[in-house]
Amino acid sequence: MRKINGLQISIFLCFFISAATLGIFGAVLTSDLLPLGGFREISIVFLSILLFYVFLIAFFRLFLKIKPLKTGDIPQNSEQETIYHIYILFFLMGFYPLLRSGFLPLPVLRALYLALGAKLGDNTYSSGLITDPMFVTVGRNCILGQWSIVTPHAIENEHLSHLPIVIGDNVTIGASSVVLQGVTIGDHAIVASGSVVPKGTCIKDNEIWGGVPARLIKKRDDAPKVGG
Amino acid sequence: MHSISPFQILFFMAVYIAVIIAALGAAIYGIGGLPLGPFYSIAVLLSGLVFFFVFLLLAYRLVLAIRPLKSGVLEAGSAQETTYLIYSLFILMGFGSLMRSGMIPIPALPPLYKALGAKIGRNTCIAGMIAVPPLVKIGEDCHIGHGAVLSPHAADEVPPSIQPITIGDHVTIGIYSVILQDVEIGNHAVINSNSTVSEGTRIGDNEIWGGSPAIFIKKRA
Repeated sequence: MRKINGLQISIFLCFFISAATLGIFGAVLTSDLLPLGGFREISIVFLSILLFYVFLIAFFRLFLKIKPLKTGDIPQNSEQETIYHIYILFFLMGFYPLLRSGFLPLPVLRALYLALGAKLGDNTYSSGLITDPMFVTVGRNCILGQWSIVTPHAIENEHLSHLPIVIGDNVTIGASSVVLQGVTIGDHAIVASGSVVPKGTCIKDNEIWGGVPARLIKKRDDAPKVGG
Repeated sequence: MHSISPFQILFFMAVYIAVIIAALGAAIYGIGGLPLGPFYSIAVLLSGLVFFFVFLLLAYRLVLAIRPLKSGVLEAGSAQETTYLIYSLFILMGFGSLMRSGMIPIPALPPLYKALGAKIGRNTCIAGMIAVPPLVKIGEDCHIGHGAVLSPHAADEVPPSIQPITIGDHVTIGIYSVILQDVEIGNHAVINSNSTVSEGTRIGDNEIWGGSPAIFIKKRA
């Protein structure tokens, strides 16, 4: 694993502290406008947390707009590595505690993933973890099952890279399954529970895959026509 | 599985209640003494929660300093079994909630596991769970994936036992992998996602293992 240096941590802390300050400031201002009575202080605390996350997401999007994180290998000591380290600190210190907690209602979780840059079609929900939302595209009517993990990054000792994951419409990813980087999954496909879909696997329309590592089990015979 | 005796539960509850009282005292008389204005109640409440975990940790370290947790078989009724069961109550009733919640930021997890007795090298990232921290040693620059479990106890055996897990430097443990007791993993090794490394396995330097049970796949190029 690579080391995040002091400069990168400082840049991130500027964003983090600014978001916290703006959050508290906004919460105090808002609370003064509302007739909260004895609930004023507790409202300030909870509203601060909410607004902190709103500002943190805004800073995250702004940062990536100015310094985009590209897919592919991230060489050591490159500018892309600096961008990645600041990017990952946003997740480690801010978003993962929410995404990993299991505490957020699924519709809120979906909204959070969209805010973090995931492309999710209508009526698609994840009750698992998407580690790098901006590199993931999922079609309509999909379920990413309980504790499933969709992970476009690969950290293997000192190697580090991101490759997009693209999932079609009406796909089901079973509970506790792991979908690794560079995987494409066609419409109406199913990944069985507890499977690991290896890097770069291409699962076609209507296929059922399962196992560790996942392999083709069979074609669905009940599948509707593609696009239907 | 073990059953925890009423005496062990009583002993633990006495410690637990003493910790709660000490935490309330520190919160009310320590933090509550500050000029907090209308934020008095919420500051006392939240600092009380922090003090609770700090004092519980001190009590945990004290108990384990007097009665160290040793690896080996836990015979029914033995002193080692009692130590282990009181240790488990600390995890079940306190630290397990922190480890399992997912709400703790990942950079805060290695310090938590170190405080609980694990030996962890610098720049090692842990997004999984260490079931018995005093029996686990991890080197530098390692990456333990999301939801991975390092489990030095075998509760399914009769009698149950606890055995150490030792992991070298620059090791990657994949997402959701389970490492069982008495496993040694060499430097630069990789364990694939969703693998189960069985009891007593020895994994050499630069080896890639995967599957359930995990088998040797290849050497790293």
